[in-house]
Amino acid sequence: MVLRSDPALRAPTAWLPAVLRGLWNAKELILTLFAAVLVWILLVEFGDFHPIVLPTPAAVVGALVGDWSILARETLWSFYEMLLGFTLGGSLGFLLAIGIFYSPFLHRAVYPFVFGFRVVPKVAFLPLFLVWFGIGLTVKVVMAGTAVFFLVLVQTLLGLMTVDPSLVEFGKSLKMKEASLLRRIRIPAALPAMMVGVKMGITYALTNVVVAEMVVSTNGLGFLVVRARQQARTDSIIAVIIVTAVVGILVYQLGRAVEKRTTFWYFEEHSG
Amino acid sequence: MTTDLDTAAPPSEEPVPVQPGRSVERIRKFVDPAVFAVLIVIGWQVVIWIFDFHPVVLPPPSRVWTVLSTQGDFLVESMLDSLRTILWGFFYGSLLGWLAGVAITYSPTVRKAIHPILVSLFVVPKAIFLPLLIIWWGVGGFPDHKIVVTMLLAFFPVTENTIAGLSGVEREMVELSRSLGGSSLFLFRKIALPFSIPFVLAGLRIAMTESFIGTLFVEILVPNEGIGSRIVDAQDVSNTQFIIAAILVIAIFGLAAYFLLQWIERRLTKWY
Repeated sequence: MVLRSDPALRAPTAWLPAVLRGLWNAKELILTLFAAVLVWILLVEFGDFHPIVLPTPAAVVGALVGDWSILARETLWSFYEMLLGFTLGGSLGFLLAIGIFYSPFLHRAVYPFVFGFRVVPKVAFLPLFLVWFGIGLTVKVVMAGTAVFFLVLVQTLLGLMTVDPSLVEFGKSLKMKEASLLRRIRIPAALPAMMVGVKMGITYALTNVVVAEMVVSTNGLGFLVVRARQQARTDSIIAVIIVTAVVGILVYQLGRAVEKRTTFWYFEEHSG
Repeated sequence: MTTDLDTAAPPSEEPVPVQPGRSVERIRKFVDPAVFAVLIVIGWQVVIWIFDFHPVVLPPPSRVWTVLSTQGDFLVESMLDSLRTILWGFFYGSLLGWLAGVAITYSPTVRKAIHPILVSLFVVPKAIFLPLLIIWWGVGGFPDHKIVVTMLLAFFPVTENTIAGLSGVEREMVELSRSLGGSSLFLFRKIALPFSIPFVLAGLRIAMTESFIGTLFVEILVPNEGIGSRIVDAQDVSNTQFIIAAILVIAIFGLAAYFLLQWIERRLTKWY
């Protein structure tokens, strides 16, 4: 067990050198981003582009600041849809994985189809889902859910099948019933693989929510970007892209935090 | 234990299991999925009888079969249109992705300057970039805007896996080559490159699935040609059986592409 030092116990100014060192280590990255903005400004200044083609950085910042309440609201919408879809798809995937694990028939019969549908772009189902669920919340939740479902299913099954057999033998020698064997040994041991599914699943869920919003919706980030395009507001388009990028990175970090939290023992053993 | 689907190590996606020991098992491996498929079709029909769905909501299997048998060549033709976009996008995207992977591995400056950006973009829903891409690229530029989006999606998995493959070469191998007077180019060509092949091929397989997603997404959001656009046409006239038939065709082509790449992978990495 690694004891982590509590940040509050450290000297109050200890963060400053760390931040400076971090900035120095990231100097190339900062320079690149700086150069990108510089090129952008030069293009606007000397390129004589119409603002529909290339708005000024100032206009984009203006759109970010001016529309912040709309952006925040629609971000929350997308996030909410993603969480609903994630919960639904994740639990179904988890349950079916356990079913497939215990039933050789299900494994032989269902798994090839699961595998097949993983390869089909979910976006192709969108028109069908639209007929079934309309343009409300459901269609987006279902789109997010399908993405998570397959990932969590495949990863959970992978985890359950690769559990160290000696652990299972140990449980059996203690006369554990299969139910407690599953709960106390198999699932915890399968957790690292499952959590990879969770981490990637939550990212895929966000992607699919955005895709669904772009095709059929009246809210969310995907809707905002399509509406900005219809209004020829390129500055708003870029603003929505920036917000979506930040949300995407935060959602991935959230997934990683959950992964680290639930499988810290695995990381302590395997961190190189 | 390999638990990560997305990064490093050629991921083993199918939890291997169901030992094909006895011949009964081997037969059931093919019979069970067929039984399951028949069960689905029967269940589908029964659901329609019980709930009396309108054919627009859920057409009976027979109607889907009619579409497949009478408009099959039209569906395949549209699919081939899409496939052209998919393959070009896949080709350009993986080529650029591979080059970026090589540059990032061998140049610390490039790595520090752009790798964090690429890693972040990897988890951002890339669909959100489409409106901006269409403004900048225009519909019908060269290469086609659909190819550009497909490229964008195919790019990342190849980059990440190339980096993982090239930087995974064992230290001893590198030092041995150095001590025998091998140049950097020799090291790259004879050691790092062959070593990275399994990783790159695994990345290509993911990139192929992503390419399908990219092309289908653009075809559905901005319909002009390809099977995605035909799905949108069908949706406009409530031709639900056509949508289902199209999804089946996409699934078949998606699986074919996947297994083709897997076959190539097995052929090329027997030694691994």
